[in-house]
Amino acid sequence: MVMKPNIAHDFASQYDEMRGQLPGSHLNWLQTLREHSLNVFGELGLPTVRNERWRYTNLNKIRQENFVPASHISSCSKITLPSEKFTQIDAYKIVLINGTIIKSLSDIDDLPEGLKLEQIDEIGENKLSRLLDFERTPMAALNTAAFTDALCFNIRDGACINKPIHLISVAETSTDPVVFHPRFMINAGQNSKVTFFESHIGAKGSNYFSNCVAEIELSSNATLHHYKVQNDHEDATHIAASEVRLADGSNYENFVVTVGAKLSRNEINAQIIGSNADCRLLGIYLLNGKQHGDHTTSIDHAAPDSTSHEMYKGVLDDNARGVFQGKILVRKDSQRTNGYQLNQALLLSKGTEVDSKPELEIYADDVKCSHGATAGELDEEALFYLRARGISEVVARNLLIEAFIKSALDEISNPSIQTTLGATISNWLSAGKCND
Amino acid sequence: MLKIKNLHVSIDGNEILRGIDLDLEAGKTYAIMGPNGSGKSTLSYVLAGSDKYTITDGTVSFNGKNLIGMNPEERAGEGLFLGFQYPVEIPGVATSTFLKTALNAVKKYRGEDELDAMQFLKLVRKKAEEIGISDEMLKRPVNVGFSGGEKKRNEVLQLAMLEPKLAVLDETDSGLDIDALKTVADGVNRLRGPKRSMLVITHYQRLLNYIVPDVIHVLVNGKIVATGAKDLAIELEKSGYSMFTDSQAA
Ligand SMILES: Nc1ncnc2c1ncn2[C@@H]1O[C@H](COP(=O)(O)OP(=O)(O)OP(=O)(O)O)[C@@H](O)[C@H]1O
Ligand SMILES: [Mg+2]
Repeated sequence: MVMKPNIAHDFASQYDEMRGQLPGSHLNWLQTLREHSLNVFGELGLPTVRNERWRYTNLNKIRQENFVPASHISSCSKITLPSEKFTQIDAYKIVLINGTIIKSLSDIDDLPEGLKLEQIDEIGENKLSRLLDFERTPMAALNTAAFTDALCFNIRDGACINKPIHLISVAETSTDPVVFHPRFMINAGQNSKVTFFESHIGAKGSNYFSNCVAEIELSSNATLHHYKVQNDHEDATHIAASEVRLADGSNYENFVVTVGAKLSRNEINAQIIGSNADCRLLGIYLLNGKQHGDHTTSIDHAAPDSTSHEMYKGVLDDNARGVFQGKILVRKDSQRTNGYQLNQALLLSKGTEVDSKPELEIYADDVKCSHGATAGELDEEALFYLRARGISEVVARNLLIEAFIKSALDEISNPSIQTTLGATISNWLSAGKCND
Repeated sequence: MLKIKNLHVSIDGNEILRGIDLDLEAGKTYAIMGPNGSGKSTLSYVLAGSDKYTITDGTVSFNGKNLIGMNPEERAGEGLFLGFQYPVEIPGVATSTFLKTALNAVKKYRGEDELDAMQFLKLVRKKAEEIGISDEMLKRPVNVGFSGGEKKRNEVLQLAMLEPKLAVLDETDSGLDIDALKTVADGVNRLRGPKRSMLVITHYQRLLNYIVPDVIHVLVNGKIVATGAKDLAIELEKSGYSMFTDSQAA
């Protein structure tokens, strides 16, 4: 029997070799965790389309690339952040370049009372990776084995953080394809309130792979508004997994805007372990060219009397492909659960494709759950009506596209973030994103 | 103002307009009447630049320019306005946003100064009030949930805002109650002037009591079969179109 040569990039042995050089190698618990994670990843490998959760997203693009870990690249000190509106929000800024925190660009010393930022030396044992299930998210195993910095944002009980925390993940690469692994945790204490904004930007270089993991825990009655703009370079790969756990009475609102990366996946797994919690997963994806954007969510209702609400709206042009997979699990004792899920795509050209897979698994009998998925084109009648009033075709199309995504944008609870994201999206649209 | 010569138009291989000749002069008001399906809306859509139709023969010039070569937005910029028989609902686009975008697009095309938010608001409030459209309606998405009559008022508001040279009004009177008919007619009459032409498509002589036309054309089966003064409408009201359709069949 002739074995096919394995051309796939071998992340496992790559990181095995450099384990001693990664930050935190003096911490025994971390060494053990990294070793374990790498073993698991070595066994699982990069997910393939045979894996049901990865059915529509093929990782061949990264499988065949010879990535250099970003930690091998000396960190750059001089960098100008892109001036796009969403990067300018008034916030406590934390800047990562290639997954490593850049203190000179971050507000580490000016953080407010109720917020404590711990880095790898302070986090301590048994906190990192607690929410992760590597079988479910193999890429999170790779991240755990390979991250350079892990940031843990602790919001004290009862604290109400006056400004958003803004994590800006910047890619700064040269000619070699580079891989890095942004990693953070948010622990929102009881009755606390905080807005967390995440931006992913490609500043220099195009061929990189950003493999992000977030672990988010909301204690009783905590409110966390979590917004994310993924504007990575159009040739880059962005794979992100967020694990969220909601205790009783807590409110988690996640809104993602996906415009960047050639290949991207934003996976959110939320587990509701308390009653009267509210989990809102929302987003907009604007893709063109040959972009592939995957939004995969899973909500586990493991307690009664909670609600979940999902709305994703996609605009696809050229040969772009959108994927939405949404699973809602309502366990046997999770009575009076209320779940809603909607994925709508606007297809602007013939070459586009959208795959929508809702999955409802309901074991309780007193439950309200609904889901829907639609894919449609721009309304030609409306387009003609607008043009007949003197509005140019490009502007008319953008008006209709903005009208389509408006209902998702309207879901954002924070009015100033809503305005900022709305303006950012308008700018992209008028600059030609999803419009030729 | 508008010169149509031997216009033949078909859709999906069916000829709908079969040789139309029309000459509209500045400052005059024209009416087109004709039975259902005779091609009145087809003519208005073709003038506005809809790409659903194929022009198989003929020419259309608008103030000396070839209209057929222009896209819909250029026609609007040049001063052509179509009041739609069935105004389109556009969820998610506020009426005031739509009006402002349209007005400034047309102003830009005409080389005039665009209006800022305050100037626009002042203007739109004044015109909306004249036509009986409330502030609240301006905030609502374009035509969504508007009653039939409200949609038609909204068409007249757009007409008043955009100040075209030629307004083609396709059944702007249908679905209006008696008071609304008067408001809408007043709105249209306010705009009449020596430099502006109106082409009013209607089924009812009643409208023509308010908007008195200089000339009435009768369109039957894709052709203009009769032309006359305003008395023609009264005649049609009595006898219907049978004399034209019968002669067609013969
Ligand atoms: N796609 C199509 N294929 C074939 N015939 C069509 C198509 N679209 C419209 N028509 C026909 O064109 C004809 C003209 O329609 P039009 O809407 O112009 O009539 P109209 O004079 O405005 O009528 P009404 O008074 O009812 O508004 C009708 O007979 C209609 O059925
Ligand atoms: Mg008609």
